[in-house]
Amino acid sequence: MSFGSTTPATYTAPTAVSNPTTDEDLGNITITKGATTILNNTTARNSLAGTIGTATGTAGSYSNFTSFGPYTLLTGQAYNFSATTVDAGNGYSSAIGIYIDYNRDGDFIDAGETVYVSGSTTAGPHTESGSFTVPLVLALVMQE
Amino acid sequence: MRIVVNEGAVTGPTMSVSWGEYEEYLINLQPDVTAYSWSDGSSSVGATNPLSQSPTTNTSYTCTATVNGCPVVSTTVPVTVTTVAPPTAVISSSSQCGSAIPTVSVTPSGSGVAGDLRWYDASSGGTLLQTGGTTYGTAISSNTTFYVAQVSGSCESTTRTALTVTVVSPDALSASATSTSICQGASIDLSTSQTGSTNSYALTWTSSPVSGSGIGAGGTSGSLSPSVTTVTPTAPGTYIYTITGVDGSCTATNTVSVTVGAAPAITTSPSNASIVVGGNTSFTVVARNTPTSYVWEVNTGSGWTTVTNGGVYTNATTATLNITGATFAMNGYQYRVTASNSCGSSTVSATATLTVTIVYCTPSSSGTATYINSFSTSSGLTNISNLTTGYTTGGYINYSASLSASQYQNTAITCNITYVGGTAGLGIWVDWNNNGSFLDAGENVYNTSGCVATGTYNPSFTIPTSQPAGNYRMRVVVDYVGCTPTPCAIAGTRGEVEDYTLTVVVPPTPTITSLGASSGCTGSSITINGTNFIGITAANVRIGGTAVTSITSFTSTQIIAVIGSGTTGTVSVITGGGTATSSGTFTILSLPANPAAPTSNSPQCTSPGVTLTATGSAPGGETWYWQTTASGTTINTGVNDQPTYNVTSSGTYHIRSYNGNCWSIGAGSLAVTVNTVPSASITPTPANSATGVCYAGVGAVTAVSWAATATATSYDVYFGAGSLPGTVTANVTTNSWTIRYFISKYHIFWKVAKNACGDAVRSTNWSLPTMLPDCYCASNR
Repeated sequence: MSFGSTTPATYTAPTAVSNPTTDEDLGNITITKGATTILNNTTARNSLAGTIGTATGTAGSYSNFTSFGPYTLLTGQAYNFSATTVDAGNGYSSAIGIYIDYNRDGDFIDAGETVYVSGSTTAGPHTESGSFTVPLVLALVMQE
Repeated sequence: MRIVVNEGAVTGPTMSVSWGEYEEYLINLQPDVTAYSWSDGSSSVGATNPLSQSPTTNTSYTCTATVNGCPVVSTTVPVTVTTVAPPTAVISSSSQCGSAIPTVSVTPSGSGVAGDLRWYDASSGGTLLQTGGTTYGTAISSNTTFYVAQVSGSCESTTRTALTVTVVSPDALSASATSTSICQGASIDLSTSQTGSTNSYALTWTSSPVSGSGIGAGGTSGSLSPSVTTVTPTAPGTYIYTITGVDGSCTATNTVSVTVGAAPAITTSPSNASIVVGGNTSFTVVARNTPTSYVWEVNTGSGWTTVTNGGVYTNATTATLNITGATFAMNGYQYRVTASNSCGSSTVSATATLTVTIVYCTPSSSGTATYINSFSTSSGLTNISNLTTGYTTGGYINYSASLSASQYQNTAITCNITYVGGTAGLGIWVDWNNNGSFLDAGENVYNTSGCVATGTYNPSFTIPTSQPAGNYRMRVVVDYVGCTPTPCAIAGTRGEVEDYTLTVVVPPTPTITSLGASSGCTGSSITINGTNFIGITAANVRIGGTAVTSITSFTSTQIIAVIGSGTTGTVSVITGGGTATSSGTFTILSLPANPAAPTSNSPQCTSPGVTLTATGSAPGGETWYWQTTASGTTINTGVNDQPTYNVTSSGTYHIRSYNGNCWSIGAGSLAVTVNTVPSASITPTPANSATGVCYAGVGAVTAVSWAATATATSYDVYFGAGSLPGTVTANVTTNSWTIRYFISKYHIFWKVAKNACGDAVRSTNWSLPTMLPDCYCASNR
């Protein structure tokens, strides 16, 4: 007998980026707790190759790294994050959004699932960082 | 976790992005549980997660987790415990004889079925031997305990039903044969014995295969006493004989394998072969029943003999006999073979015949002007007469199939060639060794070795002494350009070649009917009378095994030969037809030694003559005789057998020794000189009774002369008028005398030639003419 979380749902890939190989991509994504690094992945622009492994998807548009990890987060705990953007050198302004499907229903639109959205755009490549806390409300089930 | 970057504001997790990127990661959310507490409804049963429990009755469990400091209570989980009973033994133990399917059995408990049963080899755990079944389906041969469990759904009975099988071993049977390898036709004794006395078997011998084994399909009874069962296999092969003993449920078997061989049998006999002389061929036989050796035989015309390796033969003991470099003599040889193995020999194969042919070179010519017009032989036993044939188009014609001459070995045959057309070389070849070539030593029996004029030529050649009887190709060549012709090509365009057959005949067997004498001396003649003396040479006439010195003459019925220094023995005459041997022996008599050369008092005059004196004297048993020739054999007792011998004429005299049988081979010889009184002088000048002799004036005769007389050293001259003087007028050493004066018109003179041995008789009276009146030579008148 065990008592724990359920298995993940299935997800739909986001809408394809219109101009995948032009301008901004995500560079480095890091999640830490204190001195412990939970996730640290860096990708070049227009590349599926990350430092944790090579993603599936479309370079410059959608990099799916879910075959790596998983990266464990505990309920009720606070974590720091940083996200770095890279661009083609044109210096356009950009913003970042981070979402976690806490209730495992296959989408990222439920209340509380928006972990971070940039308050304003920032010109050129840049890093945005902050912290978030995993909510307590989490379903547990009994499994034999 | 989804992260998006957008060139512009981010509006949501599914926004459309023109320039930017999405990334997704897999996050594992875990409650921050600090403690677990498990309860079975009445008491705490554990604090781990997960928790393992083994309830024996139905139980419900609840877990309380401390999550972020707050208790979270799980749902209650009921656990239903199901109990499965093992099957019930029907036959819990059984006993069997030897290997058999055991009879122990079970029946499923409750509502189970046979398919729910599980057969194990241990009371717990162990190996699953069989799934399903109320009995065990596989024969076993040793004591076994089965443990049978029963399943229901996913549950299996915790206890298993034990079933015990006891296996009793039957007494063993042995199987043996007197021999495991026999030949067809032999019988074999099969025997068996039983180890132990537990069983009382009914015994049966069977065989696999049945056919040919000597045992019928139903087998034949066996017994332990006597233990022998005799069978006679009827076909070769390998048979496995099985003894089977049956005693109730107990059965024992054993086997013995016997190989039955058989003598080889020819399945394919060797085939005839035809090759060109000098070529290679082989004869092959196929025989069944695994022959291990072969014996090839050849019939060369005088019966079958075994072929052995060597010469032209190899592999003479294998299935294929190889012949390398066949000779023409092998033409018509027959071959056959017998195959053998340890079981005997096959019948002999059918006969194969070897045909050896000879192929000769074929010269050619185009010029028609030079050709062999006639060719014939003479002195042969049979002869060729092929006359006025003219030129054969192409220059070559082979008459060998129709025209042949024959002759004995070691005997000459004469050819008569008439050729037409300029000057040309002529040649004759005979392929004495029948190898298809005329180039071997001795085969060019005639060659002009230079061009000769058109005409008829009669060369003769002798058949070699030991030439085997048979037919040989003879080639006659005339070659206009090739003055020393060759057998295979015309040198220029003109010439002709004709081939004939020369048959060599073995002479009839000679015989010796008598010898002219039973003894003889070395160097003397022996006369041998007999028949079929053909091709006689000194080497083949032998006395006591030693050849005679020479053949003086021979005919087909008589040989006269010179006796050599051989040994006494029978006389033999060897010809190609065989050897004749005299019935009696011929004794060669010993020869006395040659006397030494004599001495003499030469020279002497006729009177008293020269006296020859022997040097030494004759040994005992021998007598020395003076002879006038070196080979003289004159015996004149009291005259020429004396130590001295007087001769009155010059010459060489000999002394030979005679022992009563033989004369010495040679003689002691000496040349002596006996001088004689000269003969009377003759031929006077002026001639006797000559007329008109002038003794004065021009041309007057002033001297008389005469022919010299042999051996004369001086001459007495008597000269008188009218009559001879009483004394010698003059003595001269020359054969002339100068007339001192004429005293008469009529003169007579004579003379006497003389030497140390005396005076010759005087000559006749010679007279000069009477001169009336006195003679004066005319020129002085």
